[in-house]
Amino acid sequence: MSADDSIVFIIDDDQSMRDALRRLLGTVGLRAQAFETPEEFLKTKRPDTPSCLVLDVRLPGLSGLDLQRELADVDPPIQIVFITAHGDIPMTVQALKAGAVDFLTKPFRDQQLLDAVHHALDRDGTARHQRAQLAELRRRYESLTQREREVMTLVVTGLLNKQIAAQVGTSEATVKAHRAQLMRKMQAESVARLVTIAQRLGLVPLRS
Amino acid sequence: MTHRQPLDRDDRRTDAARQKSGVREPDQAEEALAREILNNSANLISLKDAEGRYLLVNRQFEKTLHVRQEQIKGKRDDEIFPPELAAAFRANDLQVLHAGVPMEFEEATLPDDGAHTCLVQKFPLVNAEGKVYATGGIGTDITERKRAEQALRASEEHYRLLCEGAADVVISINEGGQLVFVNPATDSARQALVRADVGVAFATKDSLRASLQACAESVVRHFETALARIWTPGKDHDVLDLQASAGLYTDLDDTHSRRPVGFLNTGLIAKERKRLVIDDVMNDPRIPDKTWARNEGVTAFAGHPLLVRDSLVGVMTIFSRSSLTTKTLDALALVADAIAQGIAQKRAEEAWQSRQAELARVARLVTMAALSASIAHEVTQPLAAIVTNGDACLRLLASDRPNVSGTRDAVASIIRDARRAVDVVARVRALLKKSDVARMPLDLGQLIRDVLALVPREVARHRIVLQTSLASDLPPVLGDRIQLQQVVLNLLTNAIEAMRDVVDRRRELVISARRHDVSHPEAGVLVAVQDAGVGFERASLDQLFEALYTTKPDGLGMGLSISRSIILSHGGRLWATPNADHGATFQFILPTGKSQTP
Repeated sequence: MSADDSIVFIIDDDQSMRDALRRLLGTVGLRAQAFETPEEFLKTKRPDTPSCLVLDVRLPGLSGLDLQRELADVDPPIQIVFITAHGDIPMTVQALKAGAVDFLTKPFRDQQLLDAVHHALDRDGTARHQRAQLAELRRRYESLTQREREVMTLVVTGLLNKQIAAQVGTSEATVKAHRAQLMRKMQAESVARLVTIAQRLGLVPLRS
Repeated sequence: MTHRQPLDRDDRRTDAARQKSGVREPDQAEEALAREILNNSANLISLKDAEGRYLLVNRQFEKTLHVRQEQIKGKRDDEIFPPELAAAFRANDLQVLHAGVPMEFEEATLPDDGAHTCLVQKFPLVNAEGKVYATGGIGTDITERKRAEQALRASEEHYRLLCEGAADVVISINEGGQLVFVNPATDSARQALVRADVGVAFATKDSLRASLQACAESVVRHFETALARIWTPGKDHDVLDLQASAGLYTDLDDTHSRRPVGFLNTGLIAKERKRLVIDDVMNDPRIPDKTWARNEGVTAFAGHPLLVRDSLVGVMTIFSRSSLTTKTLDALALVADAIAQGIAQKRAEEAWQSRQAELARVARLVTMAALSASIAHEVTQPLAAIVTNGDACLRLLASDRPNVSGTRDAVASIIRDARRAVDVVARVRALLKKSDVARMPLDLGQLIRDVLALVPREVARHRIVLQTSLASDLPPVLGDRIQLQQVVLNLLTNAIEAMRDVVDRRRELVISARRHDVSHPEAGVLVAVQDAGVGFERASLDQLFEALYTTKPDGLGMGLSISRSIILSHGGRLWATPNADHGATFQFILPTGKSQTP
């Protein structure tokens, strides 16, 4: 499922380990870019392609866990596979709670790492897709007029055209026309679909 | 018998003794010779008949008593000497006449130059009918000797008065070093001497027990008590343990070595914290074993609580063969104080030392934990890279067109990383060598004796015949006392364990320590522990020292492995050999201090 332009970032202070990882990922056609320190990685501009990070926990300066915390606030977020020579359970729990894909203890099985990397790339791919979808919905929503947005907000709350007309202070026919227009612009084939879109855009609270 | 001519022929002829003896009559020359002998004797010689009339006196008699032969012959004592003297002489003569046997008397005389004293041998002369008819006397003038004795007595009395009144100490010691004279002020000397010994004991002896033993011995020596014992309370203060015993008994492990507090005299002293004195052991109900006391001649008992700031640290008890004066008891109280102080000080030292040891142990553990984490990381890094590269190699080779150059790079990387791992291990080794615990010069003989003091119960329980052969000329080795004690203890318990099921032979355990060949590169001390146990197969020799290897059903298999590590870290060697007949010998060599320095 990984696209050809997928890229795996590696941060490990051990040169041998970086080379070995890059070599291993290369055997399955994955591109890798390795860094010795988190600082180096942070300075690099990441291409907008599916990617993930293979991160050593114990690093000089900023530790792997510190970096994870820092990256959580960065947009877009990145999927992390932790590797460590000396892990313990609290450390693992902390990393996984903060969203890490996996936590592998060195030396690990090659398939274990590759599975984890693929999983991370998948997750990143999905996230990217969702981010793209949301961006598209926003673009559509922004194309609506002020009145259309008003009508959309009232439609997704479940009001009838007559009620909307009364609330907005216009005729039922006018509301009907706005409604058709916004349904077309938002590419929503049904009211149910429109509600889902509104929820994703955060226009209404998610409520069962 | 004529009164004019002494020893004349007629007198001699009437001599019944002569007739009785049946010897031929002496001629003139013989008589002259006898007279010469008599007159040249330094003794006072006289002969009196049964009525006490003088028959004969010699020249020394004349000279000492200022009488002439002519004046005294045929006369009785009361005609010559003052009445008291004469009466005394006659009384002695009569005794001999009645008893019919020789007797010895001390007779005083009063010649012009003052009192004389004679030691007189008086003897009866018996006639043919067996009747005593005369007494003879041979006297020795002991006036001078008597005078000297009197002078000596007067002098002694003089000094006795002087010494007893003196506050200073007067002691007389004979060539054998024994006390032959002490003045009463000596109780203060005794306690001063004992307190000096107490100070030395606590300063020089390693263990509390050894210190207290030296104290008890000093009390016995200086106070001449029959028995001196020192007890210390157990942890919960409910029992007293015998720590030292000198005099009649020196065994600490007999049935009386533990006393519940409050029970018997010793226990009572501990409970009430008061001195207890029993002056009349034979008639006091508090002494249960009267037979013992009688047999040992013990007459008095005194027990002192050993107190430091109102807290009981022990009890000292003594049994004496003479009654104990107040002064002696007070002196013993001072000694008790000194011993109590010593115990408190020793206990404080021990507590401090064990705290230090505990700290050191914790520090070592922490260091070890940190070290092992660091080692783990250092070694795992290259190993992880090796594994990953190895995996990559397999994948590179697996394809239809194997990536040879990529594989070559990976293999080169693998070799590099493997070398790196080896370097890490070498560094760790060097580190461990450097982090050795502080070494100090040790007397292995003493160290072994200290360990042996820990196992008497085990030895007795397993009916082990323990023999030691510890050379007195062992050079010191540099080492960690605790670690080396562990090794010795481990080897000893192993040997005891190995003989647990032996029933058909003596369970002999021999521990020896001797100087190892000085010229040899392994110059040092060789310690060997030889048992007569089950031994081991030669095949399992290599396994013996592996961690977790054990032949014991309940063993962990750590002992020998750890022991060997300890000996190795001391620059020594530990190995085992099966004995020719039974069992095995474990031995180790430790280098002497000199060759230890790099």
